[in-house]
Amino acid sequence: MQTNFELVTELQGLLRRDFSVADRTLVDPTNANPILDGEFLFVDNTYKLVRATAGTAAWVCFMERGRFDVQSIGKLTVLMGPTYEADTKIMNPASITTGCQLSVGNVTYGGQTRSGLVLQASTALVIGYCTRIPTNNGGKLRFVQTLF
Amino acid sequence: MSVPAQVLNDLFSQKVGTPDGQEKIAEYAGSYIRDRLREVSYFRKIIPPQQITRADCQRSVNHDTLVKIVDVEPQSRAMSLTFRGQPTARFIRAPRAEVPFHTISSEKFEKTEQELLAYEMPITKVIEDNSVKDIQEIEDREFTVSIEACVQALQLEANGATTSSPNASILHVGTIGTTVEFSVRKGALARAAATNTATALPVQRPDFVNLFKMLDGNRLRAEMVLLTETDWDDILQWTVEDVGNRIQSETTTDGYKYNLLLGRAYCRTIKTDILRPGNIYCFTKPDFFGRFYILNNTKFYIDKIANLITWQAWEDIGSALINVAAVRKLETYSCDSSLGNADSLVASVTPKAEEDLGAVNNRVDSGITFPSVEIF
Repeated sequence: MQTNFELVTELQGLLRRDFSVADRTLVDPTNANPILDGEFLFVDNTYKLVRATAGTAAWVCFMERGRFDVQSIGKLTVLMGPTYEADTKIMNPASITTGCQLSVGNVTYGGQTRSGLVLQASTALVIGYCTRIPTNNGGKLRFVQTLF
Repeated sequence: MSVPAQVLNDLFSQKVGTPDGQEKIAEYAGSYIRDRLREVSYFRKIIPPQQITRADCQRSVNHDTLVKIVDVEPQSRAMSLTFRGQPTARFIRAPRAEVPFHTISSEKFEKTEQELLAYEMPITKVIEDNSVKDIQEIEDREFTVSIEACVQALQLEANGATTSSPNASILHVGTIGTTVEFSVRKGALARAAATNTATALPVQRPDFVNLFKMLDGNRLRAEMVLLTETDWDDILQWTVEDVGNRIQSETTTDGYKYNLLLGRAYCRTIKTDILRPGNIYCFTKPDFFGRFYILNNTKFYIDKIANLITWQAWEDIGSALINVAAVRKLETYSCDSSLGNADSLVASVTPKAEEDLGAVNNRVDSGITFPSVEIF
């Protein structure tokens, strides 16, 4: 079972919210570019989830690809906060150092463009901070989410 | 012995904080005003649910959710032969389908124990009772969305995979147009309408017959009809030519009291925000249609942390409409209800969003009661 996102702190205190996805084909595991756990999403004008725009507010997707409940009802669970610490593989490690600010951006993962974590661009909204760089963490970026 | 609801709320607050656990308190008659009728699930009447366990389900190596795999009967046929001939061969393969599981939950209700004292009705019991029906409303909504998807999928297939737009403009009396009404059919009055609107027009007896024929003409049989109470009320307008002298006089005084309509069972619903008026579906028997499984019956959770009481109810179910050809639809409004949304009225004829269900009827919060006085 491939896991792209793992919580380091407990789930119990976090707000787990379900939203319908705007494009239901993205929860089909056979889609060319399905939404993965660890991608960052936000609601569009119809209050449905889409991949987050780079540099803007976003919540992390907490659902593995292909889940039957997700496919059945077309909804994904996102973590709205409050603060948590987690490991993610959906990130761009370029220039990331311990303690640096992170924002949402387009990253290449699994040969596809996904919505993940990158070093904060100039005016981008800060999603969190790096607490462990990938080279010291088995290829995963550890971060604390501070936006909620 | 009856106990005032205020005492009930006090006892509830005390009991929920004891180490013996949070027990449910017996119901007593409440002196409160109800806002709306709540109805049991119509989905459960069309496909009765079956209880299953984890042992009946299939896992995945990629995640921690469950499906149940259901077999579908294989194709077969016979043929005539000469004395010397041989039949054609068929290497048997029967299809299978997955029934996925998910949760339906109430809201998470919260209240401080002090504020519970302000209620004279057993508010926790009221919400607990209503939550079961609220959960079943979501079952119905998902079912309605699914049956609509079934009929529209067949309609799309029958029209050569182009978006079909069967509104009155195309299907006007005398002008068949190129649209094939394979699984969705307009009623007689809708076909004759001058404009394409979402207004449900009275259903006529021939409309039902034509609806049944869409199933009966495909080696299936229409067994159950689903319609709203408002559409059902149109039957009371049928004339002597439609129902005969005896029924006409009976219904004038007693209403229609039979279990069958034109030889089919029917299911009426007041949930007009889920099954919108003007949409009438007919179904085969459940064995030809789909499956509805209950993995976990409705559970009720309650907790008290300091002075804050929290409670929630949920169930885990799975459902799948495996034979999409086992449902057909009659529309008594003239607008297009397909994905093409030619008249931009699909939102008016399809189920409302979950968060918009169960709109409040009373206007008490706006201060509209009569006579209205202020406590001074």
